[in-house]
Amino acid sequence: MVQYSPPLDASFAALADPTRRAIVDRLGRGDAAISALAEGFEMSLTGVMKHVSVLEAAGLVTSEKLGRVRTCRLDPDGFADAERWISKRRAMWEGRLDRLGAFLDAHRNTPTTKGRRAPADRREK
Amino acid sequence: MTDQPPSADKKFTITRVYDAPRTLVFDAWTRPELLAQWWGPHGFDTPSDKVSIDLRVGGRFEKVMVLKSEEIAAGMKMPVGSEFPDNVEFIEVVPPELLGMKSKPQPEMGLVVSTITRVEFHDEGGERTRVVLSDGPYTEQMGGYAEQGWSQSFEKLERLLAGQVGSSPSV
Repeated sequence: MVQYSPPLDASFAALADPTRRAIVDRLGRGDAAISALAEGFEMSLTGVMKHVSVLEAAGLVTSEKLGRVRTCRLDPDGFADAERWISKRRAMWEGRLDRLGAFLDAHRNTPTTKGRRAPADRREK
Repeated sequence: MTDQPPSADKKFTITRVYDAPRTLVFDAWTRPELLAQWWGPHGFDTPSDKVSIDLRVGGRFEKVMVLKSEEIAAGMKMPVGSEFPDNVEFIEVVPPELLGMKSKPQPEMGLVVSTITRVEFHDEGGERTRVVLSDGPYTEQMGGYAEQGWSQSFEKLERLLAGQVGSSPSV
């Protein structure tokens, strides 16, 4: 749908994975090195790196390499996207209600449904 | 701890007054052949044969939006004809006064929060109808990051997703 911007899609998709949510949860309690994350989650360094790179691509996590240690931290800006999501949703509904108005205007001269109660329109699931 | 993001609005409300009787406005939301004529969004069709409305509490309200605009398709990097399902569940149904709808979290669609949309249809007299639409709440899953701390939020998210796996896509 058009109301999801690509970065927002990426952040939601990134968080759809339980391991990545656990990583974000862990980073919420403090910055951590890749090796510490790997140890904490009993994963390979490569495995953790993969998850971290998805989180980085989504703008949720940043990492910095100092010497041989790569340290990860949360990027709060990525989570502020939630607000943008809500404003997009509002715009989506505004657009829909505009079109409903146009439809009702056009329908006024041909009120084929006027007076009809809403049907209990049972359908197969 | 890093700086927290500002908390998000919990919900929003939109009010519109239409020059149309309430039964017609309600029908426009609940009859597939009418809904198909306005649901949109711009650049998309919602064919009436792809609209299914089970108008009762717990019933599904399902639509498929089909991408028609070349321009939007190019912008989205998706082919014309791409289909976007939009499925919610009715949680309140009071014809012709009220529709409450809930979308389940759809991680595969990039949506990990559940949203509730409530549409009130008020008879204003003189064949006029006031529609009040509210959408939310988002705070527990979204703004909640700021309000409750990361751990609690993700525990909630975890439970939310654990209970919702395999459900159909949504707005």
